[in-house]
Amino acid sequence: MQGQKKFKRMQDLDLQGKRVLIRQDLNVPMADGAISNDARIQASLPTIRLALEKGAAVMLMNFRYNRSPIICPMR
Amino acid sequence: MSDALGLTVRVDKDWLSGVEIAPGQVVLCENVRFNVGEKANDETLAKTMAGLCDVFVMDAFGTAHRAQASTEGVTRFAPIACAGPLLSNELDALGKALDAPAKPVVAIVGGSKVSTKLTVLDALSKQVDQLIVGGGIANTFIAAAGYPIGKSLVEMDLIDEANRLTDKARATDGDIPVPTDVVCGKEFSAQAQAETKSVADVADDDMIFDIGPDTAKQFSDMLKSAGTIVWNGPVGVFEFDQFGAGTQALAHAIAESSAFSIAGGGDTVAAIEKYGVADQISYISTGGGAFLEFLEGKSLPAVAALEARADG
Repeated sequence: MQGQKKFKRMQDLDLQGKRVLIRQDLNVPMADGAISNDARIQASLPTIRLALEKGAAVMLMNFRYNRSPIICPMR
Repeated sequence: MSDALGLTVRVDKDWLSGVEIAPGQVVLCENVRFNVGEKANDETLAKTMAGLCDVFVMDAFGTAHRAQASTEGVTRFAPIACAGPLLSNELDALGKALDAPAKPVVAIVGGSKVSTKLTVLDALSKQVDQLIVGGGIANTFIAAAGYPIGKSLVEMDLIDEANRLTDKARATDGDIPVPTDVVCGKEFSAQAQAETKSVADVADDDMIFDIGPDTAKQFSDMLKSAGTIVWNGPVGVFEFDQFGAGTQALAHAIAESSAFSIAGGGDTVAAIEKYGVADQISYISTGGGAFLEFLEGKSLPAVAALEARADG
């Protein structure tokens, strides 16, 4: 596809039995809170689920300004 | 997060010294902010992170413009480095809008100051067919066109720059259209009386807080017939409803347009939420600073590092 950047994509890789370290963005840079912490976490879940489905051991890394625990309501 | 995933997510505070983990498990490595060397992109720290894994997945677009240990550094040293689905989706969407866009391309750049968006304006003025400016940025272009702006927020030292940008846009068959009518107030407050007037009739004690209805209509028509729309910044003080009609009209025009539309930035996302058009924007960027740097045509360090690792 035209305009696509050239880099490896997680979707294309074999992760069976692999140790996978994921850098996520759970921070909240938006001043108005329009994209909430919860929305960021919700958005990050499919990546984690995909890595688990592919058989990976999943380590998550993120940067947050506050120290509040990552709480995610049941959906 | 444990509930959402249906498994227990363990939180490791001392993860840099090693993470005990088996396939099917998830460990949260607590906040990279506290790691010495994170911001300075320290190589030793990046190598330690890289040593924890077989595959590093960069999935944080909002941090891709900063070269830090957990973004750019670890990408260089991990056995394999790849983009996660969120990052690759975002880069594909932004690339579609800027690298090979459907024409005509209309960009909206709003915000208070030309100076903070100068590089974006400069990059977009030669790329897009119509560059709509809003907010304080528009005031500087209105003044540059020779109209009175009263007490409006303006950067008189950038008048020449505004004229240069307009000339540049016109040289490539584009334009930076100046509003024909504006909405003014006498004070910056939620109680301020809004008064619509021709751009030529702004009084000495007026402050321009929004585009007028004729201009909103003109800009909306451009957006409705666009092939691609890039939106960063409101065109008025939409936090106050009496000065929000311009931004609201453009938000709805983008929503109704068949164009491929991307939007980003804190104020823009707030406006999208306020006017309820999120579902009708093709892609809403998750990055503020990273989105702007992408529009500026800058290489994002973490993405450049991923591209350098494309073959190994």
